[in-house]
Amino acid sequence: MTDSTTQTQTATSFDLVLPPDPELLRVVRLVASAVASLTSLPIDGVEGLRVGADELVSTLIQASAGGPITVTFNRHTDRIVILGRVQVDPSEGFALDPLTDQILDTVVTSHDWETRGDEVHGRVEQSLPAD
Amino acid sequence: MSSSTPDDLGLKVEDTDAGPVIHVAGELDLASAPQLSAALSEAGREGADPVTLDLSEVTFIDSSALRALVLAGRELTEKGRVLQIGPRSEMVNRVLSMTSLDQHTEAFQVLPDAG
Repeated sequence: MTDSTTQTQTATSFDLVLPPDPELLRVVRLVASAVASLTSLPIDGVEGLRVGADELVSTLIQASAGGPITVTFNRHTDRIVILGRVQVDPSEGFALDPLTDQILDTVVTSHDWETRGDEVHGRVEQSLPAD
Repeated sequence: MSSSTPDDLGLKVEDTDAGPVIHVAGELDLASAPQLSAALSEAGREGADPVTLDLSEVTFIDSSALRALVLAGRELTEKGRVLQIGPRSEMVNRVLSMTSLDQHTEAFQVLPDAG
């Protein structure tokens, strides 16, 4: 899974690589808020992206086989996309928790999840209001 | 009133005539949910009264904390106790609403919010 839509320019893109430590979730929320604050997102959208980033990385922390989590923040002209990936134990399988699914359905424009080899990839997207 | 404030989560347990009330302040996420679970378990260890949560000072709550609430509520129910969600912040109300846990769960009761 990649942020593959290329017709809009990515103004900002950077990675955070974190150990699977729940204490670092607040860092992820902080960065999500900071990225959102650089855009025209209204308060509710900023809050939604903060919650979405938390749910994305919480899920990856719980799925992690112990290795680091890579979180990529992409700020486009029309949306913000957060990608996350982590290595998992393939024997454990992966299923998104229903509560997480419900919350993400409400707070972000879209989200999707994919298992690729021994990695789980997650993606949350928040559309920006048109000018 | 006893208290413990590791990290940035505030937990204060108040013994009232209606049962223990746990006042929670700060952010409830995957990191802090275990502290909430422990406080709920301790508060529900003895007695028969409801255990009430005051979430009015909670500034963030995610699915990890909601799962902790559901599990704790089920444990209390098995003991014949009730978990009540009392005063709560706008953030908590929003997340309870988006998961429908303010309406459809056997794990806890959501008390009318005085606002």
